[in-house]
Amino acid sequence: MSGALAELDDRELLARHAAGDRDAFGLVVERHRDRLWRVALRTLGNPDDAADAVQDALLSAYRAAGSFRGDAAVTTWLHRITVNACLDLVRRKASRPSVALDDELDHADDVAAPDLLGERETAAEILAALRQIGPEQAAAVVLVDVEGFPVAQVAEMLDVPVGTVKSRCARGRARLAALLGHLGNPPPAASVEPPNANSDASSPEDDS
Amino acid sequence: MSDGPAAANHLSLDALAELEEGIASDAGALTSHLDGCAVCRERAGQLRASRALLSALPPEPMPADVASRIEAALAAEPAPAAAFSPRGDIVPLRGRRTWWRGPNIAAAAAGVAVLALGAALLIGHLGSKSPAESAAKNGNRPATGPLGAATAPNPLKQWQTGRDYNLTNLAALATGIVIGDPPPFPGAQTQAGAQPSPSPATRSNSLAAASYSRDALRDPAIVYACAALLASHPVQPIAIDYANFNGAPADILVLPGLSNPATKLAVYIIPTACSDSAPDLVYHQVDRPVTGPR
Repeated sequence: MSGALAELDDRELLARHAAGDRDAFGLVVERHRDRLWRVALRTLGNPDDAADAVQDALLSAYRAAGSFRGDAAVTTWLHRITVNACLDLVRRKASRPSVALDDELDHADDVAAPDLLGERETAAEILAALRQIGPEQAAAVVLVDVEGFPVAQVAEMLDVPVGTVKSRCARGRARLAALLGHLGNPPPAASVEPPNANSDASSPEDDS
Repeated sequence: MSDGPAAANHLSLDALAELEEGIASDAGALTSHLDGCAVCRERAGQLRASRALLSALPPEPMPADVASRIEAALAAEPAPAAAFSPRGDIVPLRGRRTWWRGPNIAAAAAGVAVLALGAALLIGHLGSKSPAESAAKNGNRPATGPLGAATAPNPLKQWQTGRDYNLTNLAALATGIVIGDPPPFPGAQTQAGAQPSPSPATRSNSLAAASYSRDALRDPAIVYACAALLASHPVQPIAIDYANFNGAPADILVLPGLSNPATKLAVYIIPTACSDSAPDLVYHQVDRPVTGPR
């Protein structure tokens, strides 16, 4: 049974799922979960939140598979649901500010200290930086620069115009470059302020 | 939005990123500044370096504990088809298409002969569970038609109560048309006398538009085709009421529950024509009455 299912493409699996096949959705999850995990993890910058968001997203997808619009690619559809789940989660957390938020910011400051870092630490720093730039810009940068999706497809995933994806990417990259500057190969020239001296990464240009 | 690229000022990371992305409004000026400014080229290098860091991030599989937690959460969900409305809320089925490509009931009706076979097979399985023994005496059973033989054991209960269904009373009223026996009404088998006792306020403008499909649906074969279209597979509809929903004409079509035919009822509210892509088609799942016919 599931051997035959494995032959089907995602779209057919969703149709099977909507028609009552209990095994079909599991295959869709298997095919997509690693990438959805990465996107959520890097959009949110926090594994606990990412686990919650991906779970919410896959439950939504499970429930909404019957209304899946066949004109969208399943990949696009799942990413859209996942990014929405991430944004929802951030909104929910923002609506009840907590100690955790302060902790995260403190932590981010800690890791922004220049140091000699291994690959693991580098990944952790990038995660902290992504968390600092906020989920909207992080999602755009992650989908385009990390996952390599075309801008047009990301626009569909984020449900925004292509121009918005581009400007979110540009702003997100600029802020990430400021936050991660010390990780780059050459140390910044002496005439350029160290990027992390400016805690408000949105205006790193005030160095005249 | 960024600092002007005056000669004295270096370019911001924002401006450089916009330039690189091709969305800088003053690309020419930025580029010529960049050409003559080592500091800004350095900065552009910083931008590229952080992008390189991103694209070099290692692939990270979902941790096993997260994967199994999600698997458990999905396993706890009601069976897939119930998933349209796990908490009983109304879900618009906009654009819902599966392997039924037919956009409307006319296309579906063309497939009736095929459906008839499927329905007959299905009824073979469901026959003992379906309500119905009494509806036959009401004369609703089609004398002819492609599904006549197949539907004989479990005729469709056709109602025209003219009642106004809404989200609050839907479960009770839908259950009612499954349990009860419709009174005989003229025009059940023909298109004559098909006016459902209208409430004048709600049935003025839309009546003409609605009448085609509403009359057409009185042929049980077409109701079957509609049910198969909505359920995405041949299924035996239990009852239909030509009535209203939230004050507007609508056909209330009740099928065996898609997740569990024995314990659930699937209720579709069909506003105008039977189409799985109608924007205002809604689906609702309710519990089968425990005292209901088996």
